[in-house]
Amino acid sequence: MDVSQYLEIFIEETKEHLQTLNEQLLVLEKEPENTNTINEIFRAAHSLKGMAGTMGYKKMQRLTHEMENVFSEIRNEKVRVNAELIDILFRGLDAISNFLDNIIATADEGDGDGEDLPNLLSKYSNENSKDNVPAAPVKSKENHGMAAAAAVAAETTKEKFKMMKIADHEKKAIIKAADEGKKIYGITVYIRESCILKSARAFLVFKALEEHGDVIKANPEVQDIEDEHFDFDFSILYISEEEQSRIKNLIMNISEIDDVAVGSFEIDGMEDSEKDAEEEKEIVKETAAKTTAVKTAPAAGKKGQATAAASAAKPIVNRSVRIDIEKLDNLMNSVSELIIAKNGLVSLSTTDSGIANQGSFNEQIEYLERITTELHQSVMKVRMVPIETVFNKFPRMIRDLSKKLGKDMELIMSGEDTELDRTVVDEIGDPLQHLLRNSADHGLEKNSVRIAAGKPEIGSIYLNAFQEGNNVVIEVKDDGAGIDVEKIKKKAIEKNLVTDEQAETLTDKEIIDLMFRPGFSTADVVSDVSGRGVGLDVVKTKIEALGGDVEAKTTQGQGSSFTIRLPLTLAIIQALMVELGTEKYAIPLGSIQTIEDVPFKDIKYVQTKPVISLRGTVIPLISLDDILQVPKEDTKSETFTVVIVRKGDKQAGLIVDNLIGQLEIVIKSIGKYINNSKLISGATILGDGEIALILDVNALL
Amino acid sequence: MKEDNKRQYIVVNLGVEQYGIDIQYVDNIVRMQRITRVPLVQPYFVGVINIRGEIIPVMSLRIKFGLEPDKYTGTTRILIIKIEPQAAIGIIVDEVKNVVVLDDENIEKPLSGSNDEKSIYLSGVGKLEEGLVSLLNLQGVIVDKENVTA
Repeated sequence: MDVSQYLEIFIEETKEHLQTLNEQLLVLEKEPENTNTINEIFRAAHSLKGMAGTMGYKKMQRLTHEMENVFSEIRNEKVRVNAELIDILFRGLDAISNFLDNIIATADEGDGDGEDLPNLLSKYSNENSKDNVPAAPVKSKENHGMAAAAAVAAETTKEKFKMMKIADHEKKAIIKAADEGKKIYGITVYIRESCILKSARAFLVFKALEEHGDVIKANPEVQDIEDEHFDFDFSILYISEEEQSRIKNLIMNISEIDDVAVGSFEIDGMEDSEKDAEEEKEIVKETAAKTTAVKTAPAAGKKGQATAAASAAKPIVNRSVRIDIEKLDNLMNSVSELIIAKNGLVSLSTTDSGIANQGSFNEQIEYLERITTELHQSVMKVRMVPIETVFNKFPRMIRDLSKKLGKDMELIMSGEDTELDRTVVDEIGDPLQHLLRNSADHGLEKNSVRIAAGKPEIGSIYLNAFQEGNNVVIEVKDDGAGIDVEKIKKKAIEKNLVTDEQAETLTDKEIIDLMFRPGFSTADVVSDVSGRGVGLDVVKTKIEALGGDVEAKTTQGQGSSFTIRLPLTLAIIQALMVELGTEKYAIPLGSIQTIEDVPFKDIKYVQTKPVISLRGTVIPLISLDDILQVPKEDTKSETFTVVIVRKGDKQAGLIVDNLIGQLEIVIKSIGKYINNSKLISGATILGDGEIALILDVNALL
Repeated sequence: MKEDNKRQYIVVNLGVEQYGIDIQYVDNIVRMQRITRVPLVQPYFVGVINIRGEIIPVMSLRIKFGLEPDKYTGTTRILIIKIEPQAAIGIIVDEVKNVVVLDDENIEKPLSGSNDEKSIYLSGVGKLEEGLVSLLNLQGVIVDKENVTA
């Protein structure tokens, strides 16, 4: 049975568990005695192992198994948590995420590193305790909820002991058990054919049985069951003191089990007179066969088959979003209403038309309008995910950086629940990581310097997210030394980004903006944390590609801050439609501050550039007609219309010929081959089929 | 394409010349319609049009080939070309004449060593009873190669 159909679920869940582990390990480091945390870690590690096993990722399974052992030791207070151990565990998590990356790319866990880790970990758990075996049975009780995982795990430990066993031992065990007065059962379990995760059900059976006795032998082999290489039934040899009926009940209590046959099993006779004789016979035969030749050969064959299946399944992994059921319900509601609205229109069109009808027609249109807006919002909400998913990995990163750089620092986050479009959330991780690394490496001073400067010894990095109008703002701040403007100026001259003369006329802000130019890096020493000179310009490019912008501010001695502004949604926006000559353009409403009618005589000139003074602020004017080379039309009016737009704290007034009004527009690309200037961010189709171009205000300023 | 070495071409008029366009890349042929100008783009892009909700850039072959600008008449058509999915482009032609089938024997490769910048726009010359038809190399026409002229 092919497990590739579960690949997506596996990847999603593995990510989640990794995240939990990362978070909880950080907590554990600070509070080694916190039992809740340890249990949480244990559960996550356990599920991870189970899932890796089910999917047949052996290396990952082995690694997680060893990690789980260590966690188990920690829980049993046999191992003390220390920084060194946490480091090893974090390395383990990194190795797992490497495996996961490989799996996402190729559906195979790859050769990956971390080969030494299992040994390292097992050494750890062995050195620190003589008996890590008794820990194993304890854990299976813990995880009732995680059916598949727990079951697989329970199986894995057993499987190891099985591998060492040969038929003789099995026989001996049976005889021994019989001597001890225990009962030996043969069991055949039939799983419902509609069952999706057969192996999970099978392992629930194993788990249930193991709580009351010992499973000696399974047919097909446990490994095959784990890989779902079985039809809908499997047989088990089982030793227990429990009554036959009780065992049957135990198994029947597991859902999706169709039927179970239990009968006592006698080793001597080899022929069984009890009920369900056929199954047991089968078992015996199989046992004999399997334990000899079959044991090694199919294992190898199966492996090959599995990898073949995996490589065939290569590009299967789709991007998926987990959706709150409530959001789906809202969506469903809107769609129902849409249908009602449609029916309303249909019934209107079938009744006779007249003036009286016009009114209800308009009513229906308004209704329809409201519903489509709602529908749009619901769909957008479905695409929205909290930025938490990105933020979560940063505490761990800062911890690592702190160690690497030898600086004490802490990360203070807020607004993790701010929601952003999934595409944006996926892309924003790298730029943020870069900015945080910058703050940690360049921003914060060494602890000694901080003390000398009278600052708290531990540096703080802030990561804040919040919504501002139609934008989401993400701030990365530190309370470090701030950006040395003079140093940047020198560097920029050195790198021929500006000339000496130019540099003298630049404002501090303009100089700081130089940091976003390609090929700029201020670190005197290039470290592997940051400072390869591919930094901030990449950040800027990426964020601009997402339709956002980034801005840097700094106060000498008090720290610096980077502010990223991102559009809330990508595909549909509210826009102001304007006319330039005969052409129509859309200006995103999010960037518009006000609209003013200004008399011509109010235009002033500063350095030959037109400006207006508006409520005490001087705002430069931009003639869209000129910039966009719109065919001129003579206008005779004494005032003109100015749309005041804003980007960060920059403002400008766009002169337009005419205002059309506000419209919800769908952004479309204007095609791949057209060598577009940055000024046009796309186009939209108006109600009459006409095309209006969308202006990118950020590129204008 | 009926057989391996036979291809169908749409023959169009552009000025005094006839051009053949491989039919497998032609998605649609539409009448002239309102073109929305897009500022600050390559001069041969006259704008964008709306084809059933899809926005498609339109280029003028005349401008690209250095002929005099298009005069839109009743026979002017826009050929919607898709050389790869999700990236359609429209090209304006004076007239769409007919569809011809050419096999390899009737196609002559363009003169090699030609320094003419336009040579990359052609994939060959087809011989028909009623005359010669220049076969367009759509890849060369559509994909912008600024350095060709340099």
